[in-house]
Amino acid sequence: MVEHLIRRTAYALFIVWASVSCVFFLMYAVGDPAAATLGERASAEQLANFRAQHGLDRPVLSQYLTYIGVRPCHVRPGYCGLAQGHLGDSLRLDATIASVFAERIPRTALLGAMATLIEIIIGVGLGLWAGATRRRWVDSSLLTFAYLGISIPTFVAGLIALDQLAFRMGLFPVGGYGETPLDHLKHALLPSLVLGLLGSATYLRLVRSETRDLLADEFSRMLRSLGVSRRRLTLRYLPRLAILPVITLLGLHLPALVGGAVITETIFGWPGLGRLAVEAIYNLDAPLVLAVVLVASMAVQAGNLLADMALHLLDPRVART
Amino acid sequence: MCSTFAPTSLREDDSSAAKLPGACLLGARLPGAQGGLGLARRRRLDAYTAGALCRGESRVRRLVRSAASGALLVLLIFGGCRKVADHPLFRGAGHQEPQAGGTFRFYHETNVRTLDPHVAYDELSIMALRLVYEPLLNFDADGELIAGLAEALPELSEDGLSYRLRLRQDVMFQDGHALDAEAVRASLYRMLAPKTGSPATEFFTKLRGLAAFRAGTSKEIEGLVIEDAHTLRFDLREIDVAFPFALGLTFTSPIAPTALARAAAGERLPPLGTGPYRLEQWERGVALTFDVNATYHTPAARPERMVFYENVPRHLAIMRFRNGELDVLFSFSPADATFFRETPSWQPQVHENVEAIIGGIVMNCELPPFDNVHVRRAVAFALNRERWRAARGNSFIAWGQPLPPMLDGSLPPEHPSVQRYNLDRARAELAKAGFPDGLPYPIELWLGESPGAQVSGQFAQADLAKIGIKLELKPVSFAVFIEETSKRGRVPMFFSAWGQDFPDASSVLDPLFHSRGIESDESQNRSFYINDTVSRMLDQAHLLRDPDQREALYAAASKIIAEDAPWAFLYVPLRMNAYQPYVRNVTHHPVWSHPYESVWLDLPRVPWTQGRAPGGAH
Repeated sequence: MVEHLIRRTAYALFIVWASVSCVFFLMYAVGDPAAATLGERASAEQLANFRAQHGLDRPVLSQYLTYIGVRPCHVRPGYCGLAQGHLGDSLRLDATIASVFAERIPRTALLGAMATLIEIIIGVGLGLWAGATRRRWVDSSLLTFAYLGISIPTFVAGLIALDQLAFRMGLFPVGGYGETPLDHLKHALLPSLVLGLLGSATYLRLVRSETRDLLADEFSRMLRSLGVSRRRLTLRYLPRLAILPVITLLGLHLPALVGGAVITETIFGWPGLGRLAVEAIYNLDAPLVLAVVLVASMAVQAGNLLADMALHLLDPRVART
Repeated sequence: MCSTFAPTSLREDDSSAAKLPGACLLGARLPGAQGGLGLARRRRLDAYTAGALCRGESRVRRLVRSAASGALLVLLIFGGCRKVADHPLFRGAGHQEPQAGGTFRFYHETNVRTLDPHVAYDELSIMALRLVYEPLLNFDADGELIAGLAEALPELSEDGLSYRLRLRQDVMFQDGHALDAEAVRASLYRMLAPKTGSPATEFFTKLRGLAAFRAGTSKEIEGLVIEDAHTLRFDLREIDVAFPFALGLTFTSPIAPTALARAAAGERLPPLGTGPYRLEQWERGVALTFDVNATYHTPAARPERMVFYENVPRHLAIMRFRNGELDVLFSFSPADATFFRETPSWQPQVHENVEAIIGGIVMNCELPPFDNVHVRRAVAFALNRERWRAARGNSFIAWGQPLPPMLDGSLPPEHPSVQRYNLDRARAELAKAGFPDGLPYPIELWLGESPGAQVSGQFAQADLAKIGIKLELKPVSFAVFIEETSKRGRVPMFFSAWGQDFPDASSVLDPLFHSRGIESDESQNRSFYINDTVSRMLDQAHLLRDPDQREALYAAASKIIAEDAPWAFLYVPLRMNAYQPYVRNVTHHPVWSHPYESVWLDLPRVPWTQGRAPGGAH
């Protein structure tokens, strides 16, 4: 297990480094960050000053080495790259990226966590029900819900929910983030419900199909023949097996907790990381884009690793292999 | 191993399985006489029969159930379609005299970039900055220069090379320091230092000694002189009558000495100015909260607090405004604009004003076929501006010349040199250029990222196709657009717009049409238009002290530019704002897009349905 973990961690670090490096060079191939930041009104002198100030006038390789942290910093003495734990300064926002992330990541994580919780509760619950029910209309209705969830784009469902539930009926706040912690929760409820309900469709289908397979399995029939009631079988014995693929899916889902649901954040005016990342891409705010890529790729690797470990813990068969 | 213990009666191939409890669960088949049917059909029939028998329901009941589920779904989706009031939810209390107190709430769609007045050059940041800071001079509602932090407008010396500015003596910074010449000088030094990277330096290039200061050969700016504790003098290298306008820009806002000291020590600049509000809290990406500055030099009845919400997209802003959660609305879809314009109860709350922005299609005068003036004129005559206006919800006025209507030097709309739609003239000009049957090759029209740009591109395509010019639309990212259009010999044609920095013709004509604005890589004159006569006229206008002569010179330059058509000038946008009925003293400002410093709130707000319906006068 330990050896496996070490191997996976090394691999994860390599992937993170490769992703960040690729994006670094791509960002500089796309356009001039100085022109994108200062806009069309900037004079040649201003552009030159801006480049000098942010080290953008140096060769790309030199900038890369500084960014990674193996060359001295151009704005302050010593080294100030990733290796030293510095993410740099945003070109557009008058702030360090660390301070921006400190504000944005908790907001995105709150929304993502609430949405994931709703997804799991509804997706797994309904999936078990759909898989175990003998009533075909229940199964059909739940499958219809699942297909609707998969088919309806978030921006359509989000706008309808906003208009109907928040604006017209006043059941939820009309977008935004609120002021107090309780307010944040209230404001997060509708976007996370939309995200959660739509996202639960995937879990529903997965768990339904898993439950059906498990019910047809011989161990279920044996348990039934030994007198285990159908309800007990469904609620007690099946979930532990049926959620194994859900855990893998959750691992893949973790980056969304950090990277943000861009469309949802935009529709609901949620000031999270996803929306900021899109703005950074539009404005060619290279350090900010790179930092988002770094965090997102780390989240992907961490998610996979955590899913592996969870499977090891929950399923002895995996541990044996 | 499990299967060893499974009773045989529960196996799938057991034909009697369906009789046993739980057999339905396992998908068992029923015994039956389906011999003769194909295997697949028989399996389907088996499955159906088994299901139906297990549930003990008929096909009719199933249909009824499905219909009921469908109806429930429709109810769930559309059940909430409640009608929303088409009038404001609240009106004012009816006070005629300005009242202090309350919270004024406004918004923008993205993030405030910075609260550093020396750096901020975007609308969003300036909206916030103008609450905390004040420039040395200001502009009134007619765009005329007025004294801001100065006692009066600057005095011009006889030789026209020096401006003397006397500061008010009753102004305090928000850190408790008094405003004096030394504080202003320190602030201007920071603004002009290369390290700050302020866009303002281009407005001060004629200040004597600035070049040496910026090059690092001098620690002093020779032309920035303190005469006494409250008097500053600006000495110029050459006459520039437009120089005082630069003193009205937010860049010149003095920053409190303690804030400057902290910035010099490497901290972020704390926002401490002399403005009517002080920043209380900034939750980045969410909102900025400003409290009224009790020591402000000109007391007036103001809202006690201002909240500036960031990241409020247009659709949310409209919902929140109509719910009474926002006090102003300035971003409208065409449908929303029509709603607010045409709903009687909202009409009095809507303000529309012409903005000092000129928009059009830029043609690269160095690239064929636009190196031929007749082709450029053909394009300018072929564009049906009125059709565009109607199609874009009357969000702009058609305008075929370089200066917006409020600037001195703009031509009357009926002037013969003004570009206007005339297909015959367009065809005639194209024929003069040697293309009587249209251009033999397509031209690339570069577009920015907005959906509006795509629509405008399609309009241009349709209009120019009528005279035989085929356009290929090329949408690119903002970064690429900015970078490539400013380079020589790259982009033949693109959409652009330019807004004034201050209400003077030089603010539009100099950067866009003076040959000095052309560089190999980073041109501001991105049509690469070179006309020595125009450049000379623009230079000369900076020397003329007589406003009438200046206006005539700018009008003459405008005429030549309109005829040479480096741009096909298209529009001047209309800015539309809607305010809640209890927001008073709303003014339109020709320079600042969101002048909220002077509003007051007629509180307590009263539900619209109580009492008389108000007129909503401001």
